[in-house]
Amino acid sequence: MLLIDKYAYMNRWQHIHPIEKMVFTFFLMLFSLTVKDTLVSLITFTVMSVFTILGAKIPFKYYLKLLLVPSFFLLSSMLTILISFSSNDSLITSALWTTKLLGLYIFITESSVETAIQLFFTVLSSISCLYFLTLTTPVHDILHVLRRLRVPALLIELTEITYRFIFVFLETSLKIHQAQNSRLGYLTVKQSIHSLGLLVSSLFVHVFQRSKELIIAMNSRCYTDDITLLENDYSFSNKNWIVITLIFVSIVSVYIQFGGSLNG
Amino acid sequence: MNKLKSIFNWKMIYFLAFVMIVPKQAFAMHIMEGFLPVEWAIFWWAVTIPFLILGFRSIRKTIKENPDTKMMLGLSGAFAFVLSALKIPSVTGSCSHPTGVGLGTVLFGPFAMSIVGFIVLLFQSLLLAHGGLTTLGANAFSMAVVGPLIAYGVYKGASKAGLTFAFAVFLAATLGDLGTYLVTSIQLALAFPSEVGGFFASFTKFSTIFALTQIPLAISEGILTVVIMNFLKKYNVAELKALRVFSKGAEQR
Repeated sequence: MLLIDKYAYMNRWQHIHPIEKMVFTFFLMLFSLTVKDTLVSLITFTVMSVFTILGAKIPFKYYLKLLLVPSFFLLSSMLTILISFSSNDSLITSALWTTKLLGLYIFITESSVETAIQLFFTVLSSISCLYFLTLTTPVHDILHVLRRLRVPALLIELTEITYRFIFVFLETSLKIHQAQNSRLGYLTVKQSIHSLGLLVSSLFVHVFQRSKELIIAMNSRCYTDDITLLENDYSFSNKNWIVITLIFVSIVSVYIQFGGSLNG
Repeated sequence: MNKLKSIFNWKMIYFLAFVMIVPKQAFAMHIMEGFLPVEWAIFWWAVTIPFLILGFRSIRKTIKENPDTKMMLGLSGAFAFVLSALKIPSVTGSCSHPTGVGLGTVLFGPFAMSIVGFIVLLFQSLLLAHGGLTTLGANAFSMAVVGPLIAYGVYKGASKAGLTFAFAVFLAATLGDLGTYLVTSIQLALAFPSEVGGFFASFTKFSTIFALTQIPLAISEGILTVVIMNFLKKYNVAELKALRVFSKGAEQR
């Protein structure tokens, strides 16, 4: 149902220690986000994509599709940053292109083009980092790391319950949707809002039933305050830490040597 | 030169139309990973965390008095996530995903919503590649803090003003969505102010461009929430009464 989740459990790198993957991801992501350098972003993007596709063996086509997910937000926001408007002609300096529409000057300046391009590369590198993490690390492992970082236990527990039941409710809602759809429940807009209302309200009843059942089930297993799960056995590998350090050091040194060379 | 200009103009129009027509499915606005500069990402995390602590304390208190509510809260998170994965037909003919801000707030109250909304946003970025981790603070502020607070205030205000239940719910859901989208526009405008006109010019740009998708979404979500609440009131009065525990915590404050 949720392909990202499926790959997180089924990729080739699932046995690597989650802390290694998380440290690697956040180092690269935060570094490329802070320095905002085109070259660093491109290197980060390449490293992460190669790791995801060749290392963890995530299908190339699916990875491409994922990269396109936020394209609408990216395109419309970049366009918004690119175009400026003003009612006063004299304020505009260094415009690459201007036009007049309904008494407003619409223009594109050099610096806005620069911001948009730089933003594009930064976004590219940081979503490749995010995808690397989510495609290789199951949610349970991420939560396990968070628990070690002393995030309140209650919050983690709520997150775990949520995670478990996302799939239950998703399946239920897909079944209801299919049943409604096969009875032409989504033929017109009015009809579909009615059907959706029915779907959501019956899902809501499910929430109540399931939570009552869950309380009984947990109580009968002497549940007090903590869900203890058997953690997966991971071991740190010195080789991985060396690779992570090497990559990070080389990116930093590339930045010190050639930083800003692609920014013009 | 003139010819060049006209080509450029035509391209601009084409591009605008492309941007407007392409989204067959408009999501609610989540700022994507990496879009906010680091200093703003940290700033919005810092603004959100106090609200999360407040919500967390209120939840913890409720759970202490009534341990069974814990499961209910976890399941509500899953419910909200599934809700946001559904598609509602929008007025413009395209589909959009509801945010669930209005419904969640009317059902669980704003304090519980801050934590539930935060968890939902976390899963949206982890499982749907929608939103991001560095921008989670900013997204949580708009969708899990401000949206629910507006929805709750509107709902209470409208109920007190003697409006019908359906209209109060509609207003709460619609204005909650609109508030969320305005906050997101403010966040983007603060991070990327225009050279000429600064923050306000930039805010106008962002809010007008996103209004194209967000206003129809808000209206259709408002209608949907009314339909859902009507069904719930008709068939599930007992469950609605059981939920009072969450909103009671909010009212005591």
